[in-house]
Amino acid sequence: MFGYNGKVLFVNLSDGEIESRELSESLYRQFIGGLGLGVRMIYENTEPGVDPLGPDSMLGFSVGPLTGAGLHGARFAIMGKSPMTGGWGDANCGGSFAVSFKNAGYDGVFFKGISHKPVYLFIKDGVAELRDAGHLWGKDVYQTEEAIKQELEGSRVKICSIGPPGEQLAYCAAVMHDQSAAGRSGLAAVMGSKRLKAFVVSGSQKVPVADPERLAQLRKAYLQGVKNVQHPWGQALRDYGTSVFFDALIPPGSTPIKNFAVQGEEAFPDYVLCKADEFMKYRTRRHACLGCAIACKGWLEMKDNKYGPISGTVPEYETITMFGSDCLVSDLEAVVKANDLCNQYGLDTIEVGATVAFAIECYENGLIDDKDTGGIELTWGNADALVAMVEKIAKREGFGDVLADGVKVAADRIGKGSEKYAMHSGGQALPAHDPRGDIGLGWGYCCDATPGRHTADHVKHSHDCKVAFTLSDRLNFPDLDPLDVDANAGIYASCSAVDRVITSAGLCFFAMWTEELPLIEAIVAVTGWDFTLEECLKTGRRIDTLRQAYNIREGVDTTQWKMPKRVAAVPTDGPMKGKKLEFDRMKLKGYQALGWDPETGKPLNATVDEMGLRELVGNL
Amino acid sequence: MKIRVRFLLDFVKIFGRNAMEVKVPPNGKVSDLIDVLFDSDEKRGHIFSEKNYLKGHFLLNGVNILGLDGLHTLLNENDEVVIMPNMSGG
Repeated sequence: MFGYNGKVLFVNLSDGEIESRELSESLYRQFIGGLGLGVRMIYENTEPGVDPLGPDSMLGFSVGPLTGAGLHGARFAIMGKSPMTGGWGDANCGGSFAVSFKNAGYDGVFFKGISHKPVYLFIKDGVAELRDAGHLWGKDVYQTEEAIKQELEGSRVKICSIGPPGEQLAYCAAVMHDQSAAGRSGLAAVMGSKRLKAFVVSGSQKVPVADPERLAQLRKAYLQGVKNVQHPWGQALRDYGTSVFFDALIPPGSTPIKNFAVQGEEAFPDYVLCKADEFMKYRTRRHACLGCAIACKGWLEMKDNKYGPISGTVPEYETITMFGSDCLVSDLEAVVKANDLCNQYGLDTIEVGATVAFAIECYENGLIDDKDTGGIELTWGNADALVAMVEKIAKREGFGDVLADGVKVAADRIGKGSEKYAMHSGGQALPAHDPRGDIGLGWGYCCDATPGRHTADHVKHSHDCKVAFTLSDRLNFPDLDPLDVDANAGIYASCSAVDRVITSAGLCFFAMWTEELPLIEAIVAVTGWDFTLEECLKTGRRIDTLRQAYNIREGVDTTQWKMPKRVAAVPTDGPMKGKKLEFDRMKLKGYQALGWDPETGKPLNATVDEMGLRELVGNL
Repeated sequence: MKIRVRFLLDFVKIFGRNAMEVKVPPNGKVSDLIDVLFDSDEKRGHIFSEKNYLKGHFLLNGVNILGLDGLHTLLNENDEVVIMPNMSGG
């Protein structure tokens, strides 16, 4: 077998047993790797109805065949049962962890049970051991990484860890690596529930590929394409990173402002204070995930920040929006500080920002007051209150404890009709894209097995925007009006499939927007399979279908995952004035296109059979 | 009649400026403005896909023309039109 280690590790934290299992090549071929491999493993190896934070739930980490192929970054996936949605959860993250993980000898690690004391797992070149983490429990992410590096091999070890919010089972928590987050789905709380402080790898065993010469040719051509990138999105990412999307998405109304209540430049003219150029003044260097030529990340130094000197990452678009425009905050220093707090403590900036915006609206409308917030004046645009509240959430202190499990749970706790201010789908906060502007993402907010995600639907959005993306020349979709939800449903279902294969293979979505990423050719070169576009689409659909089958098995009624009323309404003012999107119909047509019953959300029998999943899922 | 046009992001590079005034015929539409501004195949390639679908954003006095009458939206004297690429990511 080429492109894989051919084995995964099962770690029972209750009794410390570590078991290596070999997997067949046909299983890899059916699910590729990453989240695809993860859903296959977790579906088979957990019982229905487990408590996400209990001993029988499983938390997976995995990589794919293109991890380490040098094509475009390297992301790893984490997955398990989401405490936020009650169903399938996954998230992914870049950096340098994925390549070391794969080179350490396993394609996936799946944790079960609950350790009686805090531990971390360390794998070095195929040898895995659970190590005591009692001295790390309670430490923030920066302190944890530093301490582990000191006791192991310095910077050669790569670390994923949680901070105090994950330890305290906050759904807002994120699994962190190198100041990047696998943030969505609440999986850091699952990690905390297992008393697993960190997962650490050190790997030097390169996995053989089937056709190294062909892979080298593909890599050379691809990297040359990146160097001369003409694609406007690729250029923007290379020059600024994702912060530039704030400049690009406020004017057309795609960026949420004031908890999704208003849109456009006139609704928030001070947005100019957080445009990309403002962040670039503090950027000291660009930063790339291992093997990526685009380098969309950046490091900044802000010595004179009024909240204290900061040396950390340039905030991403999602973060700038959720802490900035969604809270009506235009204070650059506050946005940078809130971002750094999230990186330090291990929090998902999307869920935290959305929850603070929700709390501000509750405060402004008298549903909560100073007594509830501990004296923090949660008003629109109050930068100091934003920073203070993020810190409270990080420590689960005072009102931060009410908010620490995300926007849906916070609304349940506050009651008083506050649900109308909670911008979520299926329990997970909507990210920094108004679906009336980013229509393809809206499809994912209500149709994907993990609702409210922005990384599940980039291919769809590329199609909507009429820009070239990986495989667009071969898929040759007709150019349709994005508002025509009927006509687009089948195309969106295929886009989902491509999304799933890109992620499962271990790549970054942003690879799509450089110069034609050779996705299929690279999988062929690495694995030696006669992998085709048709197989790619079917594989992606299989992964999507199994994720959804997991939701059904867990008793989640995904037909109720709907757009918040505010977001589903036709805007009466601003750039999207009069723009009508029928989200209910989008979901109906989406489920039909995916081969799922629109009445129940269940994958149809014909779909289960076509995907070869009958033996695994039985009768749903 | 005079229309004020403001360019954002890529279009600043394409036109070498961030704003300009454009004259269109009386009762002109957005499509007329496009004909004046995007007067070569190369320029039109920045706003239309190969299959002739609009791939840029046009905001008329702050409102996306997709929520109005699209390319048939009527213009009035001293209107402001923002032209920018359709982007996303995060």
